[in-house]
Amino acid sequence: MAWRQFVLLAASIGFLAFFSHRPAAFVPLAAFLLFGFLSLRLMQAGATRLFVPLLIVAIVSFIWLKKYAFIPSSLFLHATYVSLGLSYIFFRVLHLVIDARAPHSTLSPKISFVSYLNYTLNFTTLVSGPIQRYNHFASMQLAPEPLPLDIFSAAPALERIIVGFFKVNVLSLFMLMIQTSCLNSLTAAPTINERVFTAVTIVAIYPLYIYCNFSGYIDIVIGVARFLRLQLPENFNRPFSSQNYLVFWSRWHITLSSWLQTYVFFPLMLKSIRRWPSSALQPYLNIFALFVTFLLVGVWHGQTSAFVFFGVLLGLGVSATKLYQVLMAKCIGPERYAALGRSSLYNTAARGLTYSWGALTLLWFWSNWTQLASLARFLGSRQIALLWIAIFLGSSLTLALWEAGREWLLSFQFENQPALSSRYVRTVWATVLLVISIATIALLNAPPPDIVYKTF
Amino acid sequence: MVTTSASGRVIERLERAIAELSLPKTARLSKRDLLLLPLLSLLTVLVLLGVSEAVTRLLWPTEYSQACIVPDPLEGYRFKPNCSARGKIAEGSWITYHYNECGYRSEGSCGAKPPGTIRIAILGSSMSQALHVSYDDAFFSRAAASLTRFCARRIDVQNLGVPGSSPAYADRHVQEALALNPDVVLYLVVPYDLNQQVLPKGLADPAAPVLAASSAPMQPAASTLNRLEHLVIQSRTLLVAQHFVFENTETYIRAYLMYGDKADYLRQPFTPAWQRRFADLDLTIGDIADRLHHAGVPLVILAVPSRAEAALLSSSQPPAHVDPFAFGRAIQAIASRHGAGYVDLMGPISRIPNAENLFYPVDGHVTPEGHKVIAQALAQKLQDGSVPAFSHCAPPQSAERRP
Repeated sequence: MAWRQFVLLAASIGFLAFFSHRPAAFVPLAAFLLFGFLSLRLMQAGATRLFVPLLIVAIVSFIWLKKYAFIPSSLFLHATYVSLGLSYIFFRVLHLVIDARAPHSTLSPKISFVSYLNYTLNFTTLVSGPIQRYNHFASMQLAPEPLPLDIFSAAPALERIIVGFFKVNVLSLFMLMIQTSCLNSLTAAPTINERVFTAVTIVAIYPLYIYCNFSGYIDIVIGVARFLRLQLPENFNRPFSSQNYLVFWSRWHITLSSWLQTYVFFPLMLKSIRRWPSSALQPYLNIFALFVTFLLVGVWHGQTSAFVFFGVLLGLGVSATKLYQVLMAKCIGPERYAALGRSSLYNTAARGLTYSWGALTLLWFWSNWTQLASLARFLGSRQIALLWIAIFLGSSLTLALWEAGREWLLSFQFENQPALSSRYVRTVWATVLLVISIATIALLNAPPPDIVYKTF
Repeated sequence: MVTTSASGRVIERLERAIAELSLPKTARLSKRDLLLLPLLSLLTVLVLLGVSEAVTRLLWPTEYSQACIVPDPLEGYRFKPNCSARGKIAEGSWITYHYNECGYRSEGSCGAKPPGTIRIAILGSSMSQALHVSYDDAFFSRAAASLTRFCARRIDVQNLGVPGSSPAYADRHVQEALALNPDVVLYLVVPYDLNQQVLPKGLADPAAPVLAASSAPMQPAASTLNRLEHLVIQSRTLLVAQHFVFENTETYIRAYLMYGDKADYLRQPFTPAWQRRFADLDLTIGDIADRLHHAGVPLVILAVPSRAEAALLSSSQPPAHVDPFAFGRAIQAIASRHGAGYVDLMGPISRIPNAENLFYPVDGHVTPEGHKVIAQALAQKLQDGSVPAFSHCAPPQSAERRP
């Protein structure tokens, strides 16, 4: 067990060392980690009166080290330093400190410094998550008997890595290339139709790109971690099949929304209900708590005002969905509302609306105010309206076809299970993806052919 | 408690669902599967490559016709007189190449210049020969048609261009061009030309090593690995994949700039190797110009950019230390030193959005659209009064205003 701890720690430190060769560049990150460990120990020692001050220091340090735009730049550290993974380390540290303070904490009272570092710096989850809880991590990393690693676990892990590799290095790459190319050619589009089509591509392709990129990365780290006998939590579950924006966020970046649900939404709800105990108010308090939670999701993602607005849109999306659910249940009754949810036409439109709202919010994620303003000026209100109608109709239809196609494919059975999940089909599929991925990487990392004279 | 939250349950359910999708833990991989699964994987690779190659060969046919090529012990090869051949590259359409009685890609006879005709002799490599472009779409045909209209005289083009030929080759054929009694000699220079032997033997320092021509016929593959590499390079699937990938400007530029020396003509300052190439070209063009001036024939030089250069020319933000105008400026300076005319193609191309579309993405030669741009620039230059034979021709803008 001890050697596994040190191997993981060495791997994580080695991974971090790729990002700077100056030891001084790691000092702020090390200080933050040390502060987190001391806070954890203080909470475990029962110094709960220090909880709020420690929490405030942790949050302020995070904001300062991440250089949020609302802080005067003169206050920032001027030397360059490594802040890679700080956003995820922040969540892990807060999780430990908050849980350690809880009266019936299930956290081990003796979290060693090495275990703490392994949990917070685990190289497989450092850059972009998933946000694993400590007990889940410790149950495998510190277990006397590690998770078995045989052909039945290694093969699916390898398959996950291949699928992830394909998503990141082929799908997301080509989608980004398409988006960049459309952004470059938008102003040159001669007709209104071409402009709208180009703008639709720019806006509508981004959610798919970010999904392939992020979920592909998660696939890779889940696969890699499994070879280290660690099972990481899932972070995506077919988010574009969601019929509303609340469900979407329970299937997209699952560990983040789950973390925020535990540490922001639930405490906020609890406090609000204690303050205003009326049951009639509860649904509206719920809506308010959802708004605040998702506003924080946006703020956490970036340092500028665009990300605050991104958070506002996320908050509006989830709170409007909740309000709609409450009002519909009131107006037409829970049974009729549930029946409506089973209608395929309603679901088709709901999926399209969810996708469109997601694409709208992400505008403030990949773009900035200046770029968006010039895009809006260039298109004008009529073309913008056409753009969103096209995205809504296009995504509704595409996702409906996708769902139908998926169901049809899953209907084929082999050895009492969907043929698609048989080891033979999966072997073929993984091989195809691997060949395409390798070919793409080779293609993109070699210069184009020189002028050739094969025929004249 | 935290760990029993609703979200925690969601994750547990999700993990269970995913575990169900995986192979059951009690399953045993049979001996048959231990053999079958790797074989299936291998078979998949073979089928995938085979099917993609078959489909791409069907949809993107090519034909390399050697019918008009005659091996030449001195020059490598030349074209058979009075010969026609059809060829096609995957990215282009079917093209008929016709060579006149002198083996030039010209429709007119290479015999005595008919009275009242203005004759242009063209020297250079594949760009001069208009490789992969039909005769009517070629820059020289378009320019000739335009000049015939404005000059009210027939323009005869004798194209001595040979694909893959070097500046040294052009120098060796000056006398042949002069024998045609031309009114002007046009020499096209492409960055690739300078990767070959720039300096003719007569001008070269006998002690200096001679640069090997990149167009030298491919040697038979020496080993299995070489044969495999050759097979991959010749793969139509690879070509089609490259075609689509390199349609994206950013990707193409990034990939092209991976070249070291080959792409150094784009980087500033020029490396010593490129400075030497330009110095050699300066001597070669000087020699060509001297011989032409002696015969009273003006020389006009046209620098044609590479696809990457064109992409960078029309790009608003070229990468640091990259100057897409540098090659053109260097050629213009050489032309000016030797009293030759210079056709500025860099300026017009820089004003065309996505100018890389004027070239075949993988093959790298100019498309018919690109030839149109070259033709316009050439016609404009020849009508500016610097070439006596065309001095009487009205410039295009005034001609357009005619009733």
